[in-house]
Amino acid sequence: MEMEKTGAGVAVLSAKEAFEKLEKVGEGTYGKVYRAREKATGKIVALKKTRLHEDQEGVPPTTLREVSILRMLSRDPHVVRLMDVKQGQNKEGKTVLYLVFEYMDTDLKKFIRSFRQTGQSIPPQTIKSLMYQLCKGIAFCHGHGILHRDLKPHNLLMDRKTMMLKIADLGLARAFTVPIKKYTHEILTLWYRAPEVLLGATHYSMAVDIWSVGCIFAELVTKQALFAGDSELQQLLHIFRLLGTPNEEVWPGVSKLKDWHEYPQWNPKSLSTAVPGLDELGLDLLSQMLEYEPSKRISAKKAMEHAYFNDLDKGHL
Amino acid sequence: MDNLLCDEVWLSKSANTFEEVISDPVALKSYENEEFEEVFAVCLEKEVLCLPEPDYTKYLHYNNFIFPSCRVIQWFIKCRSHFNLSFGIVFLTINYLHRFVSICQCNDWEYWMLELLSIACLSIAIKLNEISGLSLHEIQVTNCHYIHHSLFI
Repeated sequence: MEMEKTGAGVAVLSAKEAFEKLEKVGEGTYGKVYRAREKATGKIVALKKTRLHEDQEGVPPTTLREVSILRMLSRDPHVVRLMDVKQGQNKEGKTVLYLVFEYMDTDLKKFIRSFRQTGQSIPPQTIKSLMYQLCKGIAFCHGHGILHRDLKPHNLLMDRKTMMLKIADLGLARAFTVPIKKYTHEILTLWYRAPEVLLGATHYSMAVDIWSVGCIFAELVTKQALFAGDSELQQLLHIFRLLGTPNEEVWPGVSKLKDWHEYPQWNPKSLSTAVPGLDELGLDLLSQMLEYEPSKRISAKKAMEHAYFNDLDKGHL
Repeated sequence: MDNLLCDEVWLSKSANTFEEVISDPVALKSYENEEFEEVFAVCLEKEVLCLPEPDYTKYLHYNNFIFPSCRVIQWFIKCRSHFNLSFGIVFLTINYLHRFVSICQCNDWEYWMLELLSIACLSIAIKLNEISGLSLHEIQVTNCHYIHHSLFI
C-alpha cells in the first residue's frame, strides 16, 4: 500500500543492507535469533527473525502483540529494549520481519547451568539482586496491564558484567482483558506454569507470572527446577507432593476448575526441604509466591517491599 | 512494515488504547487504591498519546472525509455483530484508522484507499485482541464492493 506522506521521504535500509549477521544465537518462540552488527553504528544487536505466513495474512498476531507491548514496556530497564522493526527477504524471496533488540550476552538458564557445572552455588547476594530486578520488571509489566505468561530462565536475559537482568520474549504476553486461547499447538514449558492454569482456569491474573517467579527463585537457589513435570498431570503431582494436595479449604473454588480430578492426597511439606540453603526471609517470600489461591499470591510490587530485600543495595537497580 | 508503525514517534505511543474494567473480582483483590490511581494515570497518559494530530477535524472536513468515515464505521459495527467481536475491537479499529490518516495526511484520498485501510485496521485490531483470527477474505465478504487481493492489504 503506497501512501504519499507529508515531508521528505526517508530512505529505509532493508535488514540485509543495515545489518551484518554474525552468528545464530538461539531459537525464540517463533523464530531464529541472531547476533548482528548494525553497519551504520557498529553496534551489536540481536535480530529476531519472524517469517511471515505464506497465506498473505500479514504479520502474525504474536509478533504484532510483541511489538506493541514492547514499544510500551521498553522504557523500563528490566524489559529488553526493542530498538527497531525491519522488513527483509530471505533467500527464497519470502518476506521476513526482523525485530531489532539490544544484545544481551547470556540468559538465566545458561547462567544457572554454568554454576551447576562447576558445582558452586550462586552467591546469595547475586540471587537477591536478580530476584529484585525480576520483581521490578514484572511489577512494571503488571502496572501497565500486561501479563507475560511464559516466564522462565530462558526468557530472562542477562549481562554478565553488570549482572543486569531483562525480561524478554513477550510474544505470548497479553493485556489483562484480552481473552485467552489455549495454545495447543505450542509447547509451553510446563515447569513454571501456575496450578490454576494446569487445572484449566480461563481467567488468568497477574498471579500466574508470580508463580513462575517463585519457581525461578527456587531454581536460583538449588540450580534445579523446583517442579520438573513432563506432562500436565505430572506437573500437578510434583506441585501437590510438595505443597500438599489442594482442597476447598486452602483454595476455595479449586474443585470446580475445569480440569480438576481426584488426586492422591498429600500433606504439605516444609519448603525448606525442597529449597535448602534459602534463609527464613527468603522462604517466607517464596511461600507467598507459591500460594495456591491466586488472589492470595503476593504481587510483584509487594514482593519488592518484602524484608528479604532489605539488605540489598538497590541504588543501581 | 513501516506502515504498521505509521511513523509514530518511537517508544512514546502505544497501540493498546482500549482499556476495560477487569471483570474478575478475584483479580481486583490484589490492588490497593493507590495502585488503581497509578494504573488510571498510566491509562490517561496513553489516551493522550494516541490522539490524532492537532487540527485533524479541519483536515477531515477539508478533504470530505466525514461521510466516507461514517460509512466505514457503520461497516465496522456490522462486522462486530456478524463475527461476534467485542465492542473494543470497533473502538480500536476506528482509532487505528484515524491515527493513520492523521499521520499520513495527503490530498488525494479516494474511497477505495479508505476501504483498503479499513480492512487492514480491522485485521490488526482482531489480531491483537481476539482469540481467533479472521482471514482477510472473511473480513471482506460482509460489505466491500469487490474483494481486494490479500497482497494489497
